[in-house]
Amino acid sequence: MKMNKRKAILLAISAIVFIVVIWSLFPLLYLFLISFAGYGALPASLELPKRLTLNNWKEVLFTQDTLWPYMLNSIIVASTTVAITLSITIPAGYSFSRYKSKITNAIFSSFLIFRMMPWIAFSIPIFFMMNKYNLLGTRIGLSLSHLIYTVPFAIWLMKGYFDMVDTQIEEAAIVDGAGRLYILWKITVPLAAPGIAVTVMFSFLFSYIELLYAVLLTRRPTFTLPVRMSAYMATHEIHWRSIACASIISLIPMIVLFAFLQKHFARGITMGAIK
Amino acid sequence: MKDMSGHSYIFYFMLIPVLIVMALFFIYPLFRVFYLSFFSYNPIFGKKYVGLQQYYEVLTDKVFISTVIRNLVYVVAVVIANLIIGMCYALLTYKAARGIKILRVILILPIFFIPAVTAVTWSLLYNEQIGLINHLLEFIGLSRRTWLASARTAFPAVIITDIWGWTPFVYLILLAGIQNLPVEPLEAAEIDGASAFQRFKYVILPMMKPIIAIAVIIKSMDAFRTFVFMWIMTGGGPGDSTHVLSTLIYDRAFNHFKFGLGSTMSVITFFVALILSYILLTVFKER
Repeated sequence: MKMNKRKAILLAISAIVFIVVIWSLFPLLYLFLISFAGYGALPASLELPKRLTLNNWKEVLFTQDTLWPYMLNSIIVASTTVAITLSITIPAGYSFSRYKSKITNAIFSSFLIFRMMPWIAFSIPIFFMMNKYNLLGTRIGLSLSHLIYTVPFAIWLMKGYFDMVDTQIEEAAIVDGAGRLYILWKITVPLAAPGIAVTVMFSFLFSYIELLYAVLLTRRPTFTLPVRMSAYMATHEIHWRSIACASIISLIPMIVLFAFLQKHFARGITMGAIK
Repeated sequence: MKDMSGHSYIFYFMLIPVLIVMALFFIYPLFRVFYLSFFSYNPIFGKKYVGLQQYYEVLTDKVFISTVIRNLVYVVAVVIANLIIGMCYALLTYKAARGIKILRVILILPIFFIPAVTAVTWSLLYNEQIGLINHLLEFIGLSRRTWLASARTAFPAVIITDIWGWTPFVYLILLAGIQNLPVEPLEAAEIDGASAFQRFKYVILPMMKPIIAIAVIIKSMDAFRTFVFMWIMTGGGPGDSTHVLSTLIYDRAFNHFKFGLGSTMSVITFFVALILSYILLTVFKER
């Protein structure tokens, strides 16, 4: 009797696992099959296409309208965003963590409010601002606009992490006559490395995947990957095979970054938040 | 904690760069959009003060009102689905066992897709002639549908895409939350012979409440300002039948060049978001 119940539970769990795995993977599988499909009809279901070819991949990777410039733009924009975000939110997060007054508390809470604002609401003034300072169509302009996405989140996370760093070593260093900035750079930042890794991951992610400001602020030479992908849909003749290849390629930077930082990933999301 | 030397100015000094960014990219746009909302403004006719006229126009505009409602429905549907599915994923994979690590990576996988890519991919799946979903429907004997071209099916179709794409985010938050729970109460419940469901209801769920609150608040805000999926998959169409606030404002401001009207919509959206955040924060604080 007991064995039967056990078996039934095991069977049920296997069935659930099977379903969720299929649910998670079938779009990728489908893309993968289509990316190798030759002329004629696309594969009717999750089956190998009748005519296999590598031409779709060649087209996306090595012809005139290759994906690389867009990808390069995306990576440059995201890296710049990460660099600016880190360089301004590390001191700010540290300050919010170590020094509390009515003024600084109010500033910190106001960042939480800004995190909740619909970004579209800022798009019109940002557009005019970028236009005025000739930043329309530049990568740096897009990076600056992405600070709206990254800064509130990064400050939130950084403060949470600095709160967890033991202050005893810092106090000892102050007695020895070290300055605050020196302490921050030499002692606290290395101790908060996991927090910084998570901040890098999310700042990069937010900037790399962002479409709204990218559509608004870039022009042909500076189009990012999400803009290019959305343009695939806008054309009258949709090249599904190219889309399939491009979709798969676009995953690579995210997977590489995730592999680098994954040790800190899941733990870090909640850390800043719980504080 | 004050600096040993008694000076706090260094801490204010550290805030300067962030304050500059805040002034340029948050406060200035906020005031600017508020200011523009009182003007009729387009590139050809220029700027003209119209007072509250655009507020009247927007608030009596059926398209705008139904978009606000649709946007809220979207938030509720996506958040509830994300929470339930994310929780199932987390319960399925929180114990470290053989194969679980691979399963975790598989479940996280959709988050690696750039949302624009997710949207394009799902447009392909929903495609009338070649899409996988129609092939499967035909296979089990149902008829094909024009999923994204019909007002009735396009909206739920996009919601399903959002659920697929962003459940892993909620899942990661919940997974991290379960793993950070103290183990003693769970073990005690297991020794006392509580069933898996009882353990979940009486032990895991109460302890998870703060982390669930965080997941719901973050996800609600993200769902509220959704743009990409709707923009790529339907563009707000057919007609204006599937707009969410972000796509509607974008469409009116940058496709119709009504910057003033777009600003007015932005200001109202801003207040809807404020009310929503207030409700969420009070609901979850009381618990």
